[in-house]
Amino acid sequence: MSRKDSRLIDRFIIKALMGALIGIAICMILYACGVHDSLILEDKMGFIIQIVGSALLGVICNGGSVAYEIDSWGLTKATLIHYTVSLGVFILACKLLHWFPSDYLLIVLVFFTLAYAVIWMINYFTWKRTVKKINEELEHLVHDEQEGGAHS
Amino acid sequence: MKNMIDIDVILDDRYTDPKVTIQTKARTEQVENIILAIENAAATEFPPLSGYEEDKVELIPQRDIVRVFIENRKLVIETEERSYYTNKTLTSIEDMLDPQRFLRISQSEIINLYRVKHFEFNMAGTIGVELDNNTKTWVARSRMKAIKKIIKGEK
Repeated sequence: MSRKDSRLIDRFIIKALMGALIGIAICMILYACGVHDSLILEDKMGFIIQIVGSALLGVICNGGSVAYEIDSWGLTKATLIHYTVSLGVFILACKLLHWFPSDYLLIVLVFFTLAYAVIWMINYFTWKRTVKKINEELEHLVHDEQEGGAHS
Repeated sequence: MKNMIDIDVILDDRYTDPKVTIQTKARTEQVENIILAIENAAATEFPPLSGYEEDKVELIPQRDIVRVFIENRKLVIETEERSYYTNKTLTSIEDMLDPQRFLRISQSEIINLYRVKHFEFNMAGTIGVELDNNTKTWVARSRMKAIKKIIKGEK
């Protein structure tokens, strides 16, 4: 295992823990807001299952975002992989924890996909602009050097 | 002809690298020696790298290097026309190279900024770079912050 790989694993663990905390926090907030009519919350066990489920979802979604830090993966590949993994776990959580009625799943899927598409687009255009700027600065730099080493 | 030479030093903020002009009637041996001495003195901070081409060892001036990269677990120093092998590690080479001129673009590659044609960002979401010898390679996104700084001339 290279140093780079073990660094990625460290990053995954940190992000996964953060994700678990976020999941638990959201679960608590929703519970405090009274969003539990349709959920299996009749007993303490049901409540614990909801918390554990939310935490696991956080672990996979936030932990999985290390995909963006793998240098050899392009932005598109990283987004697609993160999308697939998160969507899979999210749908599983929805089903098992009864978050949405089954006939709502299509709407959930559409918005989930839309969110990733928007994220990809923002990333794409931000990088595109960054690279364009770098090319402009590079032209100045190399042009100055050809003028005889004088930099203004 | 006297053996003494006049030396003027002009301070000018526009020059980051010193520029030397020799005024002379003819290219005598003395002039050649002066050029050699200046080149040697100037090169000490960022010395030429040694590399093998087949069995021959050659010194490669840093200016001529287009990129240094790992290929099949071997380190290759590439100039516009030639490729040389070296037994050094990429990190030890990186330490010898002029940090204002050379960019570490990924785990396995260093490029000469002044030999870059252009960078590009494609649909796959990777940053490509085309070099003066028409090689195309890619830049790690995590290196871009450092690269931006160097191109802007910040330390």
